[in-house]
Amino acid sequence: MNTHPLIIRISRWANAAVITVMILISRAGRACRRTAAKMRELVVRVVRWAAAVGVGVMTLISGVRRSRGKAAAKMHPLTLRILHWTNAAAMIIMIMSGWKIYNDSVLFGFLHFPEEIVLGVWAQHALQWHFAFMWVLTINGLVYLGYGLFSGRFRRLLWPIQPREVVAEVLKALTFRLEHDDLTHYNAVQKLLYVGVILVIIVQVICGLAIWKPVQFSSLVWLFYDFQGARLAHFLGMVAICLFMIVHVTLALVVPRTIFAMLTGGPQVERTPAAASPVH
Amino acid sequence: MIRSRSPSLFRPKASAPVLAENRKLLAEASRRQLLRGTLSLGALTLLTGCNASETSSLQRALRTVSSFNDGIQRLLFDPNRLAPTYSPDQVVKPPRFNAHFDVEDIRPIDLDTWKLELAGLIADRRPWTLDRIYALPEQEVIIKHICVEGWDYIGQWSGPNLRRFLTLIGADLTAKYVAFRCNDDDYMECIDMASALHPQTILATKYAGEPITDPFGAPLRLRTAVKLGYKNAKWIRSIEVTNTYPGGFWEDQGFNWFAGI
Repeated sequence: MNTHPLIIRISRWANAAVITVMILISRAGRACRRTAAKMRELVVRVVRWAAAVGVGVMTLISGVRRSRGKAAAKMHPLTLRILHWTNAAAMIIMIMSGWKIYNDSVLFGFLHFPEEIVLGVWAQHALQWHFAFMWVLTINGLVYLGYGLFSGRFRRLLWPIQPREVVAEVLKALTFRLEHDDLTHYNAVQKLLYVGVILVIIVQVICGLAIWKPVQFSSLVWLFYDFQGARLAHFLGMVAICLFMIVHVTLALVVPRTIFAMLTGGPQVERTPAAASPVH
Repeated sequence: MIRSRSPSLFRPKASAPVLAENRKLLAEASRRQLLRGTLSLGALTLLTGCNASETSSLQRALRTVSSFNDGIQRLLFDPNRLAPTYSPDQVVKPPRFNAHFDVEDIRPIDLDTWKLELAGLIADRRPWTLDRIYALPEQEVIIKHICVEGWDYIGQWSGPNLRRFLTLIGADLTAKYVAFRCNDDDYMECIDMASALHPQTILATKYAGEPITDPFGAPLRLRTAVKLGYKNAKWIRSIEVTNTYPGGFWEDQGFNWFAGI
């Protein structure tokens, strides 16, 4: 096996070439004012998007080659990684556009999200983003739930959750003594938070539907008492998801191996029943 | 070489002459005006920004999804499903004022000369005077008005049922759109026929038992229980039944057309 397999070499050089081209075009555009501004803007935008997508795809697939032909699979299969990052992007868009929508009729007088951190110049733009990416979030989410359930991933990684374990490990986490040497097993804190955020997102979609269609889905509205109740539930769900994201991203930054794992797949995992769940 | 700011979707390209001639307006603009009025500088820069972003591929993409959502909403719309109704003691009096301009800028309609004009796929297109409309059987709805902004209130409206009115004037009930043109700055909104024919869609002449007053859409407004607030046109001066999409005040700015609740 080469140190640098062919696919890696191709993808890395293509990556460097694209970034160089991008820099040159943007420099050329600045130097030559006579160039039609629209054309320049279009080319730069296309190349930026292509580069970003290209870098993303290349990074994701760069882990595939190594695992091919071996009996063991990766901790985070390619499908899972795509689902994860799609969810991350969609969630950020939903939250930022949601903040702008909130601003139009605030629930709490003291809380108005600054324009710098919302998505959408005016209300209609925020609504456009929100009702576009709700499809990405829910379809991607449903695929993820199906994948997690039918591949056995949820059973392997997120189950069981034992209260005693949770208490002990939360205390360890708060005192910075929670170890994370083995990426391939989730500790009780992780299990709790991942299961928790999945449930919160499901509820968030439900109260989102209640807000969207309070007459057609009036029975959903009833779950949250009334229309304003559904709005409040949606807001609280956003707060919970944001808190999760803060903890999730912070812990990932504290243990950067986890970020690389979610980009390139992480360590090998044996898929035999013996290793499916730790013995207690 | 000084690098100028790259154009951004989120920074509308307001031109210098526009800014100069409206500097006085900006100085006078109160927070309320900025929030409410389309006559403020902020809204003018919005218009120029809107022109730029309207032709952008991003707006095209987002509006395409919005049109797709119209189709989904049509599928979700149950023409027989009634909106929840409430009791008269829950009614907010007076109702909340809301328009794309301030209450001081309302131009009252001369009720003596006002006539409801009819156009399009309608057999009897003779205009209706207010007396004739008042003579029609009244239906009362006590329903929740829900604004796209997120606020709501319970209101009580009464007037002729729209389906019965459309049947009376021989409108083509298989047509696609019912459009309402209004007295305020050529405001126009149109709704799908299915929602127009919904049992809780009326042409409201009264609020809480009294004729609708100037700030709230006198003499006639659309009131349907199955649409967001901005689809419920006020200060109606004409109704058109058509198969050609006539556009819409808010839709032109990027809001969703179907806007069903």
